[in-house]
Amino acid sequence: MKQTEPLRIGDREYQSRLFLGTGKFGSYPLMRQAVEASGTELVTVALRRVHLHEAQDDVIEHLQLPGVHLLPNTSGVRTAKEAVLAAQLARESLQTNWLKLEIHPDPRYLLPDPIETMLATQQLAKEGFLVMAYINADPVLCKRLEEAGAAAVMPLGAPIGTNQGLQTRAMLEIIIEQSSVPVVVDAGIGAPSHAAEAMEMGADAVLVNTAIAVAGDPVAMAEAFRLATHSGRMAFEARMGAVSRQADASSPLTAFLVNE
Amino acid sequence: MIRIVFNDDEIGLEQGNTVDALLQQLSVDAVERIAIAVNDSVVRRSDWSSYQLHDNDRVLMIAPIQGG
Repeated sequence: MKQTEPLRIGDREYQSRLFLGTGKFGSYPLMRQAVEASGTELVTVALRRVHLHEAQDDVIEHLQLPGVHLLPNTSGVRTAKEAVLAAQLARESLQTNWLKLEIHPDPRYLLPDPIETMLATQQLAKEGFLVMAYINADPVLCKRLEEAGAAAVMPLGAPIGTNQGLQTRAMLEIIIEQSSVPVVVDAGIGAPSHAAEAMEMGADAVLVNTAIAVAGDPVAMAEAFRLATHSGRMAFEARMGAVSRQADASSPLTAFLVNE
Repeated sequence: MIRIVFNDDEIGLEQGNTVDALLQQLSVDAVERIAIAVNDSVVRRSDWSSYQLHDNDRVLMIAPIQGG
């Protein structure tokens, strides 16, 4: 398979432009197999208070794969202040300054709070975190976050877990055109074709979780996403033809079987 | 005996007032990925044996889990 350009974020280079969420998998072995099948080099994890009465299972043990980095998220926080504390705890827990900043207090749509996200990004960038900010597909907000020090922006395609695809595609196009930092389309991607579409549009990467974890065969789906993401990126690098309104013949327009 | 709030529960410290003593009292395993904050300030692992907890301190202990 033809190699595509590696993606640079911070001081790392990623060969795979498919990032994976680890939520919703029915078991750790299944999660691990899906991660392997996806070819991903970056997986997200969440943080939670330790419940002493429960068995202490270490999810990280099942994510120790060569070439795979961990990206802790701040899911569950409601404010910038909570996000900053969560980030500091994540850095301590996983020994990484990489962070997926997500602040979505409303449980019905899980839409990210732009103001808290902006405040948190400013503070976290100052504290030396590499912030990948999950936000709505707002082109102006994305530029402001970039200016505030975000290392990447992660605009949503549709609300988390909905599998609706790129509902925000018009705005994603603008963000991709205007951004000087990597654009990772995150949330709402429900099918490999959605991932391919985002990559064809010029997104730098996609993050997929639900679509893979809840598929009938998550491992096969992970591979499908791997191929689609790669295919979309290949198409982008191969420079697709223009879209037109009027037809433009593919075969010669000579009369057939009639003497002219 | 001093009393602290550990995650959401009020508990008394019976084996000593350091963070290490607290972890021992609670029989916490898988220490490797755990992170701790006291009163919203992270206490680094290297300080667990020396950091003294006080009455009414709020101790938060987190660990990584599956998530997107």
